[in-house]
Amino acid sequence: MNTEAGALLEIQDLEVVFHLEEGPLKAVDGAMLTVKTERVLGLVGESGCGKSVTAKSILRLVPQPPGEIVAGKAIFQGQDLLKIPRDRLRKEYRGKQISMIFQDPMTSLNPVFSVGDQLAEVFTTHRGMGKKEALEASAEILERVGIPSAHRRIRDYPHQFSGGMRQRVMIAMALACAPKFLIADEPTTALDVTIQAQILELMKELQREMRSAILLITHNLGVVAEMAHEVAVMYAGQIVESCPVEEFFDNPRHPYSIGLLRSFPGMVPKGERILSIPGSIPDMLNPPPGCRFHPRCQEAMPRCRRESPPDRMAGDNHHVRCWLHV
Amino acid sequence: MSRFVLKRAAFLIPTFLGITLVVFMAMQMIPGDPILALLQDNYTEELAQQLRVKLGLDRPVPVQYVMWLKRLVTGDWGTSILSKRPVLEEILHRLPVTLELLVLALTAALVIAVPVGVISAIRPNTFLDYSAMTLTILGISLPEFFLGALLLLVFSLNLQWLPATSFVPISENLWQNLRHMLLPALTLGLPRAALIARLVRNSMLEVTRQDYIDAARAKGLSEFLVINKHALKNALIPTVTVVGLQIGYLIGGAIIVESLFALPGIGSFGIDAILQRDYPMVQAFAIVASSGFLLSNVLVDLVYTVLDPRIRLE
Repeated sequence: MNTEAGALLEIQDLEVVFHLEEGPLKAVDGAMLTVKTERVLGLVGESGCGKSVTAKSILRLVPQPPGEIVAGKAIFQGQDLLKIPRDRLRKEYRGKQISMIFQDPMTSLNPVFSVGDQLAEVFTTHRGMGKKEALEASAEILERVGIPSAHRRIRDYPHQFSGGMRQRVMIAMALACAPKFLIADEPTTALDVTIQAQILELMKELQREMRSAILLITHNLGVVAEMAHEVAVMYAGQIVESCPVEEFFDNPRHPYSIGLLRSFPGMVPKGERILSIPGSIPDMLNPPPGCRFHPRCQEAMPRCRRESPPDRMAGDNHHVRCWLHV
Repeated sequence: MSRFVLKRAAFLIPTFLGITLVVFMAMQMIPGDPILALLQDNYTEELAQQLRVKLGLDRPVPVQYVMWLKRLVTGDWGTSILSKRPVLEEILHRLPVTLELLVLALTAALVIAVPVGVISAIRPNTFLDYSAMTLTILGISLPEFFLGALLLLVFSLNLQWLPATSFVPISENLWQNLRHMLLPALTLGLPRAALIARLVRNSMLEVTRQDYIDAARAKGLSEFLVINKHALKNALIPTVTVVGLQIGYLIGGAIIVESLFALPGIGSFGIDAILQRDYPMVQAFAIVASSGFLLSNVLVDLVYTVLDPRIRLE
């Protein structure tokens, strides 16, 4: 495994707040992430822990208001994406160098425009192509992602495609400009199990071919094992552990990571009980003091209730945020 | 697509028959014997019987309905009691004025409502949004006769920018015609604009939360394309439904506006016919108004097929 790869994207101390009627909600609280060139980083965590908000922040897609990126950096090839003018972000990065695939292919394609029209927009926007040329390019890329009779199907509308086919269209759209970095927000969660494997296989193949890096958001550890080179675990708006993927499965440090692994059916040896993590994620309007995880942690110490643990190294490339490892 | 149009058009026939039946029944229920009215002082039992046979009034009511319907579709709509001229001729003479008023009013409503709704939705809860939405409440609340009078007072009497109550046909002078039609069209259109603007705002707010809007932004599209292409087309689908229903109110409102601005359309004419009990005219007015509503709803359905591909393939 090559650990020498340079950082393509570094998220530093990201803080995102949603200003709600009930008060400010800190969805992301000091998140740190590094995605390396041509590598896949799996970002795991329960629903509502801030994974999607972190991902959307990179392209500044967090709805504002009510959302607001209050602090932090997202440095992509030396450029802080959170600081550059919006117009530059749109023209040079969104859909060109950085693309995004969304969770639900049933809702992420616009129902009233043909698939070809929606694909062609990427080419007309970023490649300066005319409509006809862009449609031709669209058909080619659809063919590449495995849609049969692509030249005919570019005239069809999203409702004429199955879920798996729509996700292929989304992948085609994301990869149209051969981006250096792809954000995939639970790309297979909404799909049938058999289709999931096909989509993952396609993404893996294209990732190798286009040499893109991927930030893969998922709560499926099987997908992480299959796809990722590195793993980051998010809990209640914070990254609590990050390390290479083998290290994560062999030697997890944070009690939450250990809990996740024990509660995932595919990871538990046959005959052993699957253990769930007691409790549920905290109310983000009133997060617990100290370590966010302490109310659910079986190894919680008095200190955990008072002070938030710092981010520490627990080995080569292994970050963990827990008082047990300070 | 053409199959959809044919199917939709086929549904027009039974609905139209229903309208004629209701109008015919209403006429039957009007108290008083038409023979009595026709013969007046010359009334004798014998003469009355002859006239009944001649006019077909001795036949059973269903037969009378079929005979009446036959005359209706062949263009024989009877003679106006007041003007003594054929009803169809009177109607066709006035219809263009009403159609022009309706088209101008609806155009004004949409031209005002869509941009206001979109701007309010992309800047929600700002001063601009609040001002626009307050104005729309006012617009919805003002009845036509009041709004019309207000516009007349300001733009005709005080400022003297526009003529008050006269009319120039479109064939005579387009510019003068439009100057005369502007205030009536605004009187009729502004309350609709207010309602439609609120609706566009709400649908836009709903649509801009959808994943495909995020996806469109993530592709790098300009905000102009995201809003005016990807969001607006979706937001217009629920709006079109309400616009279709509003056409009914527009036809009703046209009666008041035509009377107020003394426009020679079928609305003001219909009012006169009702007040003077010119029954053949009233009958024709009811059929034309309801058929107009019917046809406008078919048009709305066709607009749907243009906006939403999911309907086309049904």
